[in-house]
Amino acid sequence: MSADQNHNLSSGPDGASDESIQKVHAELLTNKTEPAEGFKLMPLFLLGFVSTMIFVTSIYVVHYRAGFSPMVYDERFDPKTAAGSASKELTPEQVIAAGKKSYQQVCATCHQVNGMGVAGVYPPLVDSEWVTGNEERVVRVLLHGLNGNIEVHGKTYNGAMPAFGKVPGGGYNWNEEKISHVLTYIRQEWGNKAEPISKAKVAEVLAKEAARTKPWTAPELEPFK
Amino acid sequence: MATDSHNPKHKSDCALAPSCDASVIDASLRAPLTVLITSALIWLLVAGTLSVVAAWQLHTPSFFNNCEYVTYGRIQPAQSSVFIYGWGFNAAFAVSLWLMARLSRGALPGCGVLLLGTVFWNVGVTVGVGGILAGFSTSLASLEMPGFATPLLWVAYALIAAWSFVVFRAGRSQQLFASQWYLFVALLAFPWIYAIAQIMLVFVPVRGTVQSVIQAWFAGNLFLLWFASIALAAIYYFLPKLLKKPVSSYYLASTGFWWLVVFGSWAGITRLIGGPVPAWVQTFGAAATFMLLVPLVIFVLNFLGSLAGNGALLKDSYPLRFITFGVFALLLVLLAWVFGAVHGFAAITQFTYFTAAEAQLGYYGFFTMVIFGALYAIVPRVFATAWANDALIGVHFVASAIGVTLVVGSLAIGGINQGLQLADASIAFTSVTSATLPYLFSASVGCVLIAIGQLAFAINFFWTLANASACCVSSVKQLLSAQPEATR
Amino acid sequence: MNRAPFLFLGIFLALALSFVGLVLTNQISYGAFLTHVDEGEGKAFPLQAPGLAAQGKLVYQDLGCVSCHTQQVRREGFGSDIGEKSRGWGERQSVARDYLRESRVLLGSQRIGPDLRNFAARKNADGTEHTASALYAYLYHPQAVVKTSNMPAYKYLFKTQPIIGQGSAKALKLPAAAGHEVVPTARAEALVAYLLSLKDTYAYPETKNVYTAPAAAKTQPAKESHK
Repeated sequence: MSADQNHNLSSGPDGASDESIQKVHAELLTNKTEPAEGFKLMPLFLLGFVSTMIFVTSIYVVHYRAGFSPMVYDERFDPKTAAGSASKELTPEQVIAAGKKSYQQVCATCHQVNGMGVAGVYPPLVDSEWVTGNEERVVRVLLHGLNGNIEVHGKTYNGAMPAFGKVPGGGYNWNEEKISHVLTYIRQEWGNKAEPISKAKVAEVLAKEAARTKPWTAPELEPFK
Repeated sequence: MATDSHNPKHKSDCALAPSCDASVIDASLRAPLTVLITSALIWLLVAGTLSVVAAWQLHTPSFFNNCEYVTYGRIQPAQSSVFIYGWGFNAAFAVSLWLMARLSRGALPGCGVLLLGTVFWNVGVTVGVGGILAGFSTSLASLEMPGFATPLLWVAYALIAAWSFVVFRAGRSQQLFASQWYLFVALLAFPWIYAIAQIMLVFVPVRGTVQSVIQAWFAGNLFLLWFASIALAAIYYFLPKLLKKPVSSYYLASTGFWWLVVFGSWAGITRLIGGPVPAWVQTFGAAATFMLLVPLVIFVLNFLGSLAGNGALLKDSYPLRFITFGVFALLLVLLAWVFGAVHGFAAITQFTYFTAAEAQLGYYGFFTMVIFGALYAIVPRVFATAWANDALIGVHFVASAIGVTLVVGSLAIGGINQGLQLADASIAFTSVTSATLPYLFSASVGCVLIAIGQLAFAINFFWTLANASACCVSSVKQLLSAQPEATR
Repeated sequence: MNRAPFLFLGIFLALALSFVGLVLTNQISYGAFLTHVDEGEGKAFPLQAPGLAAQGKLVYQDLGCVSCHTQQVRREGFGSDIGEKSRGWGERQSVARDYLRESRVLLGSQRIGPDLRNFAARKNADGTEHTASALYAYLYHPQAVVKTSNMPAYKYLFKTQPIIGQGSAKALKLPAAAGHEVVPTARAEALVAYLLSLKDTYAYPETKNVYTAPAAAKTQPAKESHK
């Protein structure tokens, strides 16, 4: 109890005086004397507690750092280990939905929403082997366009299909992904049952025909039948 | 260090400098403290009334809903602004100025600029709150006052806070005591965080949810680095003064201080947990909040250690009663912050009345109760007269203590209940709302009790002021004529 | 601790650290996020809100709607905002880019009322879409529509006017005084336009950065298709 007595505050009727509060505490801050025997362990306990807090908190930060990325909003997600699962692959339903949207905005103007086209001008897409046949051909038609007469189900059509790809003279400049979505859509809608066309396939064809500057004609496409 | 600390009165020091005499310091603060405490109390009564209205509207939506100026969406931010900037700041200015003057042992050299600053501040708050009620709210929590009012507040703050530094410079104290550390962090932090928040949110808004980060950063710091720091300064000063013994385990106080400042300034971001800000920001906020356990433990050792075995003193000393209540509220609110940073807990309590309970506990149970205690100790010294009516102090304490406990308790329990029901999607949203009504009702009864306590306090203060006025007027005159010698 | 300059420097450094670490770092790392241009859609997301909705946001702000409504959808597994057995308040977690075009971000902190971030994309309980007329009726007198609603009425956003000719198409179906009808004011129309513009349905690349528990990985594709 001797330590306690050393640090008595001098006090008046309204409590301890300001000066004694400051002097005694300044001394306590440097001397670190404890008032009673039982508290000797306190500094040791506190040191252990503080170290544990720092340790646990560091582990917490490392565990939930989420790659320190401004693009991650789920603290359990780690961009490094989860890189594969975060691919931008769309599900088949999403591909069809995206293709349908583009089709209805642009293609339906000529080929109609029901895919039946207009007699003599715009050929139908329903059950057409131009659509469901060789993918090499339909990709080329969409990328560069098609001019002149073409024959579907024994009827002749004479419209002008514009170029949709990123090709010289093309007015739409759709990217490969969007083209693949539209193609997949028309190949699987209205009872058509052809394989989907991938973005890679479109890119491959585009690279092969990089030199082409004008739309195709039906005879030119014979080799891709 | 100081070997002559046992010298009871230090008469020799005082003889050299008249400004270190406590009564001279108190007298020099009489005029500014009259104005600051009076305006604080008027705002407190306004805030109390508004909080009763807002609390009532929560369970009775038809209450005051026929006019847009009193709709809940305006009353609530107005109440919060009146409470924080009207009551909180004026009272904090008064307490911090007095503490700084006493601890630095420097008298206030003059009060003209300070009074001007106080007038500016109160005009700014009036304009800001009027702006909110008129529909110009920024809708940013704790920054609701519109941009046309806030620059004035900033200027007023500079004019007021500067005097704490003036008395520190003018004072003759050799040592820096814990209270002064906390006062300095509060006085230096506020202009910084306020300027950044105003510029980056209101005047030149940044893009996207960086705004939310800044807002959470401001709100957290406003509480921890301004309100909590001022109240902690008062606790560190008044505990040894009223208990007449040093703070126990005082050597830990500096560790507690630095941990609170360094980690506390990151902790406010925790309220964005689960929100649309990058995950690492949430993680850092949570980690910083966990670190608040260290100052929490140190406060337990410092404050509860000092209070232990001195229960008998609580009976005689009203200031000590209020401050002790505040100490417990502080420990609870820090604990609530730490829990709120745990994902599982936050997922339930986030966006519920639990957060309102936490705010009420921090701003009323802790800050306001400590300031009440400090004012009960300061006013008799500054005005050199006893409190006019002891019964009113008793009413104030009982009403406040029961009121705060009722509000915080019912909102906390109701909030957890609400959170659990919200998490269960099979319970319809409207049934969740209905289930909160009994809790909201008891919370508004608590608000009424709090308002009764505030009224008792205000009556007692103005009564005391009237008692002291004759002597006060004469001593202010005397002080003003004695200016040159008093300063230096 | 007895040297004031040391104390001031320490305080300054601590504040500077938190300012740089939280405010500046975020401002630099994602304060400069750009809109996401989707070539497939030919649009830049988030979309610019229509003018009337932008005005409505000011009404939302001025009436303090943020006091009771949040505008943030939390991730699956955090509360019951989205995912299986949820309140279905959104289609995905809200991310920073959703708020890019907003001059004031109103995340809110209380769900006294439901979250509104994705309000317009949600359906009523009976599967119908939200309509302006239903919202007018609700704003005018919430308890007449949902008996246990806790929302205050906003009658001052409506005015009573004499019926001229056919009467206003927007008039509320209410028993007004003879020859009079209750119609929304410009503020009510703006507010409702704002509410009906609240839609976060576009999936940014970063919305796919969500954690999937290793064990649940197999069931993931099934869940996707069921959506």
